[in-house]
Amino acid sequence: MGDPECPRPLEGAICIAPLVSVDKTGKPYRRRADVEVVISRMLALPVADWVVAAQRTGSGRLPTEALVFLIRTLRGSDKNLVGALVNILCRRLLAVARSIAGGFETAVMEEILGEVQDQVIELLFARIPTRQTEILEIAFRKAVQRRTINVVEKVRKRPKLVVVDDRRDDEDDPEHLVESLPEKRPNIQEVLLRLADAAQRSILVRTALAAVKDRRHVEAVILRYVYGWPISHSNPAQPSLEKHFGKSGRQIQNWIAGALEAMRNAIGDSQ
Amino acid sequence: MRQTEFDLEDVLNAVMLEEKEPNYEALQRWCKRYPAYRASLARFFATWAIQSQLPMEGTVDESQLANIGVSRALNILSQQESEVETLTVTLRGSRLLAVCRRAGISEEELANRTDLDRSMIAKLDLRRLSAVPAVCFERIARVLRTSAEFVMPLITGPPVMEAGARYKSAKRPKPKTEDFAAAVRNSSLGKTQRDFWLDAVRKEQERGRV
Repeated sequence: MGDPECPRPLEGAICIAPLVSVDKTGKPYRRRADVEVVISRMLALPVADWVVAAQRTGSGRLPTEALVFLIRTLRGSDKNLVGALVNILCRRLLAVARSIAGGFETAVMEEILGEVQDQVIELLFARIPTRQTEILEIAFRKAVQRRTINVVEKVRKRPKLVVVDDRRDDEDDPEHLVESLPEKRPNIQEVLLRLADAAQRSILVRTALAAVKDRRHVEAVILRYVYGWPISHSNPAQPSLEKHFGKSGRQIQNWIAGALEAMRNAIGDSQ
Repeated sequence: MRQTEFDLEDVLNAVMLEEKEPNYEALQRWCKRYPAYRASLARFFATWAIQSQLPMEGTVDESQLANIGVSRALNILSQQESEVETLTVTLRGSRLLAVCRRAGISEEELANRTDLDRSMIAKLDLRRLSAVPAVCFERIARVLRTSAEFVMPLITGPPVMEAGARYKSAKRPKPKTEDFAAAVRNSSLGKTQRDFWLDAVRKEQERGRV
């Protein structure tokens, strides 16, 4: 973890306590070299200047890992200062979490972001350092993303108020749709090519989500064509779309066909 | 603290640190490494993959959420302060290890969590070390969930004779003391810890001279 080529601390700089956790190979956790250099500089400044430094944006932006260290250094010594720094940290945290918590109504998204924020704040002031607390000083963004994904997983697992009727899935025949659609629609190959392009993908996903009756159809397309998941696997223990969605291969194929049709229509409409 | 168990949260953090994208090959690699977490890894990769592609819609009042975060942080700090006060009263004592025992912390645990070894802890308990850096008080205080001010007299008071120590002289011998840095050099600490403590001593001495 961290940069093994950690430079020596700056001459005359204040001693920065090393992290105490170790990774799976037994290697001690280490902050990035640039983070330690920034921390040394900040510790040499009066604490009153920390908020100004933390508010800087652009090239002089304080790494969030350094901000975590500074907040932990202050702890309860100056509540106003801690509050101001935590506010900056929360805004950064929320921006990261929000970028990976899409696809929900505002109220649900607020709930997700609030939970991630709560978890991070608990870790920020935890008395006993663990891997979970120390990763905030190694890779803050990744740690927040990981927690957001877990909270999203939890929210998605919750029983929904509206039950989607899957019975018609096996009967759904995307061929029927084709007859009534305009000729200018691209073929499936072109849709897949567009899906491979990150810039076009977001538009396709957005329109398909609006068109399909169940968002899992679009999710199946994303997993299948963007991330290479197989529909089924010869080894049933291995992850596959069948296993992930708990549906038959045929049903998932129908889902995918339906979502791809929605994407074809979206492209056709825009042309 | 040296955690040895590598649980699911640690595995998922490692995934995030090592993988740029949640593609299927990466998932298979991690499933092979941690077969016990296969199902959780598959769910995590799928959620990560899908969430990376879903549009960010709706407006969230981030300013309000951040304010809630600040108030949560300040509540935690206030709660911790009152816990420290209560605990400090409970832990009252004159010797470090006796206080640790009262707090339910063994000598070994204290050594592990402060990055010192048992010989150093024993010397601190007998108050045989001089020029102890502030970070040492802070670390011990953190383990004991108390303040550095509470810990300081436990370590810096008059040196203590070991229980049962015998001496031939008519006069009671004066216990030998040692410089903290010398004790670090004579300890069984690894290079990282040793360098850290020696660096801490050096920095304090430099600041002291100024």
